[in-house]
This record gives sequence, structure tokens and C-alpha cells, in this order.
Amino acid sequence: MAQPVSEFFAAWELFREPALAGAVAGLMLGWVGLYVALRRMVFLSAAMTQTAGLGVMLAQWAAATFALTGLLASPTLWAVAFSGGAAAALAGSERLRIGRDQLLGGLYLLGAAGAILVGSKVAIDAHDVETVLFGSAVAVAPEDFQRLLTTAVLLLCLHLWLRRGFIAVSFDAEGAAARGLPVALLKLVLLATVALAVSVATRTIGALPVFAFSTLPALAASRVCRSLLTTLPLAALLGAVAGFGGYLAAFVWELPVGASQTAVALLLWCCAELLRALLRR
Amino acid sequence: MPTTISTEGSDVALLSLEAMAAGYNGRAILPPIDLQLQRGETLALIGRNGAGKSTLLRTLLGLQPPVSGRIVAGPGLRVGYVPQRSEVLAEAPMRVRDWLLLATDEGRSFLRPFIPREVRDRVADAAHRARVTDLLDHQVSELSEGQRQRAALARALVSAPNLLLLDEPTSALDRVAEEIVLSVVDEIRERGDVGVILITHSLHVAGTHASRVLLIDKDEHVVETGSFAAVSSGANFRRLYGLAHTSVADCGGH
Repeated sequence: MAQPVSEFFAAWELFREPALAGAVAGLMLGWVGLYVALRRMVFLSAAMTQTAGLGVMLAQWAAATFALTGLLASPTLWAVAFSGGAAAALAGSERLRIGRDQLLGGLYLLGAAGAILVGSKVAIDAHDVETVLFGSAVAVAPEDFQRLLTTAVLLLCLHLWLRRGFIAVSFDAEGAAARGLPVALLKLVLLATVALAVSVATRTIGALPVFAFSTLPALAASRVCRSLLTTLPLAALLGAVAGFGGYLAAFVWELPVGASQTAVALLLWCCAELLRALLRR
Repeated sequence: MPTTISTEGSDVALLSLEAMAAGYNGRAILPPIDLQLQRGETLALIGRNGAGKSTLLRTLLGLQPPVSGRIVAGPGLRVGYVPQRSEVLAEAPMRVRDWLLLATDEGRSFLRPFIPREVRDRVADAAHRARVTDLLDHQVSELSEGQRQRAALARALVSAPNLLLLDEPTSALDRVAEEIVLSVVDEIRERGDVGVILITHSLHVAGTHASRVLLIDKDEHVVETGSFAAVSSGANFRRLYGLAHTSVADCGGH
């Protein structure tokens, strides 16, 4: 039995934060996701998302076990630390003498299994674990939304400013190095921004939609655009549509939010593939 | 680029290698090289697979330092580089025009919010010189190998280089496409007063398009330079390539 859409907007005060959180997370992750998706680093996003989820769960465990308060107990800070650690390990995979794919797989499994294991030892119910892992949260706290919005604005400004540098090191690192661009620094900043975006968004909307938003909108946009400079804003727009539309669909058909947002992102990707096939005829 | 920039004694040479040994982790893999490259000259760097060509190229590009000796850049040296296979992902939506513009940033110029008009004009000129003007709005991923290598050449030209480093630019091309690309390179070299370092597996290409060759082999500790005729008639060449016949015609192509 479907709920009328008008009821959703009638109760806008109630749904404003979570619906807009989905849109803002989709916008931010859609933009940074282009570098992830087109550099064939989809699993990078998955591993960072899962380790961020583990960070969130560990923050709750540490707060309960050691009576931590304030910044030390901040789930966002733990998420940033864990996904940042995963990013640093991946950046240094050659020095660690571990294959990149093996490390990605290991980090993904560590994050996924670790979050469930830690969640089982924290005095919270299974729904909270699901919220972190699958984004089934119906509500988003105003402070979490504010944090997400601030992160998204700052991060998108930085990405707009450094876009040519990021594109150069992502698609022509050797040439960029030969032309004197600070390749190592730009790669580090890019990876750090991906880690930050993934961490803050995972804390707010959960791991599953974050993984979806950091890959599918970029893949969809790249199928219908002819230039990276148009792909970036379209990927961000599609991410926002998936985030907001997924939340709306979850309300209308009483679906889990994270899975619904992921399904809408998948639908947009399929539409883009179809459109490309039609345009090529 | 080169680790030492000096105008002393190099007012004619574009680039000089002075007892320069390439290698990594402080260990030289090739004997020291003494060499001068002049404007309007094409030097072909030849050697077997695993001879150390990539290490030498990375050193010339300034991506790794020489183990000993030095690389002296002539005054106003500007290097353009064409990789063996241009790294453009099939999934990445990128027009040739954008691909060329992407190569215009140097140093910290990517911090500027917009690309100046003068740079856009340089891109148009580079496209004209590499005969890809009609391809500017095509997707890079949809170009043929030959078209892509010409676009890669245009990319190298946008910085108005006087030294072109070409890493096996025709290795994936058929004979016709190879000749088109090399004729463009010859034209650029002749008209633009440009020096060319051409890394190639093809002895035919080295024999027909290079004024000099540099033969290297890290296993046999070989570094030999001279005209193709002189080098190919030497004992090192015969030992490395095992050829009984060494004329350009005998090399036959690839």
C-alpha cells in the first residue's frame, strides 16, 4: 500500500533533515566518486566505507567501555580516523609489499565483520548496527546534518578549485609529474577528501548508500557526457537525485532507506546505459 | 626535468649527458653515457626488451635522478613527452580538445581558475601541427591507434617544446599509420627546430628516421652511439640482435 507523496511534504518538518542529508551526501559523493569510479577504484570506496562504519561502531564501544565523552567519543572523528587509515594503507601498499587488491579485500572484510562484531558487544540494539551498515536511518540528527552540509560545501569548493590538478593526476599522473605538477601532494589531498566525504556521510546515512553514491552516479554520468567537466556536475546532480528520491521512495513504499537510495542510484545508472545505447543508434 | 640546468658550454646543444649513469636505489644499471643532442636532430634509443630504456627515459624526464654524472639542459629547454600508450580510460568521457587542454598545466598553474585565451590558441596550433584539428571534438576513446598517437603528439606540442621525447610511439600501429605519425614527427622537427629522442623497438624506424642511434643494454653493459649504419655494423649490435644482415632494408620494419 503506497503512501501519497503529498503526505511526505505535509510532514516536511519531520523529514527535512534525513531527506536533505541524502541529497547532500549524494551531491558530494557523486562529485568525488568520479575519480573513484573512472580510476577503477570502486573497491577503494567500498573498503573505506566499511572501515568508516567500523570506526563509528568502535566510537560507541569506546564511549561505553571507557566512559569517553566529547571529541574522543565522536563517531565522525573515529570514522575519519579509520577510513583515513585505510586510505593511507592503500596509498602505501607498495611499501607494505601487499597487493593492492588483497589489501582492499582485507580492509573491506575487516570493516564489515568488525562493525558487526563490535556492534554485538555494544549496548545498542541491532537496528543501530543496521543503521551504520545499511543506512536504514529514518531520522538524521540536526547536528549530523549540519556537519554533513559544512563538509560538503567546503569539500566541493576545494574540488572546484583544484579540479584541473585532480583530473591531471587521476588520468595522466606520469605526464603531470613530467610537467612539474605536485603529483604526490595532489593525490594525497584527493584521497584525503574521498576519505573525509565517505566518513562523514557514512556516519550520517550509513555505509550502503555511501558506497552506492560514490560509484553509481559517476558511472551513470560518464555514460551520457562527452567531457569530464560536464560529467562532474551531472554526477553530483544524479547523486543528489538518488539521495532525495531514494528517501522519498522509502516513505511512499515503506522501504528501508539505504536500500531504497541504492536502488534509485542503480535505476539512474540503468537509465544512463539505456540512453547511451539509444544515442549510439 | 634535467637535474642540472646550465648554459655553460651548451649554447648549441639542447641537452647534454655528462658521464650520466641511470639506475635506481643508488645502483647504476647502465654504463655512464656522454651525449649531446642538437636542435633538428633525431636520436633513436634502441635496445632489446628489458635493456634499460624505460629507466633511462624516466631519468631523462626527471622522474628519477641519475645515479652519477649529470644531465645539462640547454638554455630555454622545454620538453614534450609522448608515452607509449596514452593513458585514457575507455570509460572516461574526454574529447581530444579537453585532453590537450589537460596537458597545458605546468607547475602550479592548475591553481588558476580558468585557462587563458593564449593557452587555448596554443592548443589550436598544436592540433594543427599534429594534423588533428578535425578530431578536436571526437572522444579520445573512439580514436584509432594512429589518430590517438597523433593526438598524443599534439598534447606534447601544447607546451611549445624544443625537445620531444617519444616512447615507442608507433609500437601499436600498422605500417601505414606508423608512417603518418613519423612523417608528422619529421615535419615538426624540421619546421620547429626541435630535437627528438625516439625510443623504438623497430630497427627500420631507427634506420630511416634517426640521424643517430643510442644502443643500450643493461645485461651486456652496452652503451654505444653513432649513425645507424655505424652502430648496426658493430659487434655489440650483432651480439644483441643476432643479425647477419644489418642494413635498414634488411631490418625490414619491426
